[in-house]
Amino acid sequence: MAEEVENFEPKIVAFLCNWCSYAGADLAGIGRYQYPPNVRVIRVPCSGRVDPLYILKALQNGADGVLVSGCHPGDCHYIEGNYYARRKFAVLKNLLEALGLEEGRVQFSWVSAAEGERFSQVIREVTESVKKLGPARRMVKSFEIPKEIEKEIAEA
Amino acid sequence: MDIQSEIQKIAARLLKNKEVAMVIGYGAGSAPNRTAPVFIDKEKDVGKLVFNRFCVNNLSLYLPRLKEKGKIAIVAKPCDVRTIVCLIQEKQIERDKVHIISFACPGLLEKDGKTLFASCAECAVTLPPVYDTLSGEAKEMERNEPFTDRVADFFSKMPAERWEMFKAEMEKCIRCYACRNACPMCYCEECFVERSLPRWIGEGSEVTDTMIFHIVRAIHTAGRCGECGACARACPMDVNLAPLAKQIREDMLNLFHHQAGVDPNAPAALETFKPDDYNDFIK
Repeated sequence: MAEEVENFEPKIVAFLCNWCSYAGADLAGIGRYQYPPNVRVIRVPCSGRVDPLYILKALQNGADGVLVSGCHPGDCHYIEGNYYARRKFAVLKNLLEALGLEEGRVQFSWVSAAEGERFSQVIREVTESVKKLGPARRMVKSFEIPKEIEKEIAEA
Repeated sequence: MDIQSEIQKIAARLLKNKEVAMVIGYGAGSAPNRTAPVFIDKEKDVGKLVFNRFCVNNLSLYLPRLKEKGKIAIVAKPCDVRTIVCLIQEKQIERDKVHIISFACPGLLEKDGKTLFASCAECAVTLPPVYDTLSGEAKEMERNEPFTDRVADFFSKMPAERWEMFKAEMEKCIRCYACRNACPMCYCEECFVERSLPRWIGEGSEVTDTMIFHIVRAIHTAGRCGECGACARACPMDVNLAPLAKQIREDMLNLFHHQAGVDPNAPAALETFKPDDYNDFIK
């Protein structure tokens, strides 16, 4: 188990807003700031566009972690999208953790278009913390055939 | 005068004076410990209205669908009134198109006729936040003895154990969606669970699909849930959703100082924001 965790490379889905965090990721690339290759970036128009369903579906389909990143409060391209997002995510995060999902599977950050270095820092931190949690198990869809059905197949 | 005859008298008066087009209330059910919704538009039928402690449905469910009829009077428990207030906040119905016949609620009983429903035993709202006519006298809600907190056990556990308990509850769910259908706040014409493009929830008994349904439904009703308990009473499998409801209610209160269905002029909690909202959880 310990070895498995040591060599574990998590898959992290990152929803980045088009105007700040995605541009921040771009700047990190231009500035040659290194960050771990564990994130799979999905560009969304605004952090307010991220439905809690997206996060849950990512977890269900095997993501070890989910990051949602948007503009700093007050900087939203759509003036107030990230404010609504913040309320929604506070509720979602607290609910998932109350139900017993590991703290840190779902994370949130504000990264502006000028913060390339900070973007790489955030990705490093998120990757580190998800690595510590180990592979996701709780919310992940099972593709195993239920035992009773397996038995029926064997008997047929 | 008891609540039932007061309700009948109010309904007769409203229909006689043509103040309302219809009265929605509780009628006799198929057994003494059951009630069924009745829709009355003639004064002579008001005798069909009953009130007892088995009035388990939340009738405000019918208000958005019947709004074309004109002004409607509705028999509503204080918790039902909270959902009516939410419907008004969300512009599903208009305040002056509904006449709320409410009463001081004695709490509802389980089918055995003795035990108070768990949600009623925890309830603090014995008087409605708004109303047009009120019957009965407010008194302290009685408690089940011994009083059991349904969620204390759940929240005293460690995360891994909580997840196992949550999973066990979810495995009971057969996804009949009775909870959603009984809920007045679930008025979407097309629910996300029935969408096919994209298909959010798979068919079959996969437990993570059931989890997603209940988590997302909890979030969709965040800050809008009047805690009437109609969903719990509609459930054929006794799935305990109290931990979800409790967590959402506490967050609404602690993070956003919001209580659902109290003020018809206030917006729902997730429909609004403050620049200095809770931000500690964001990097």
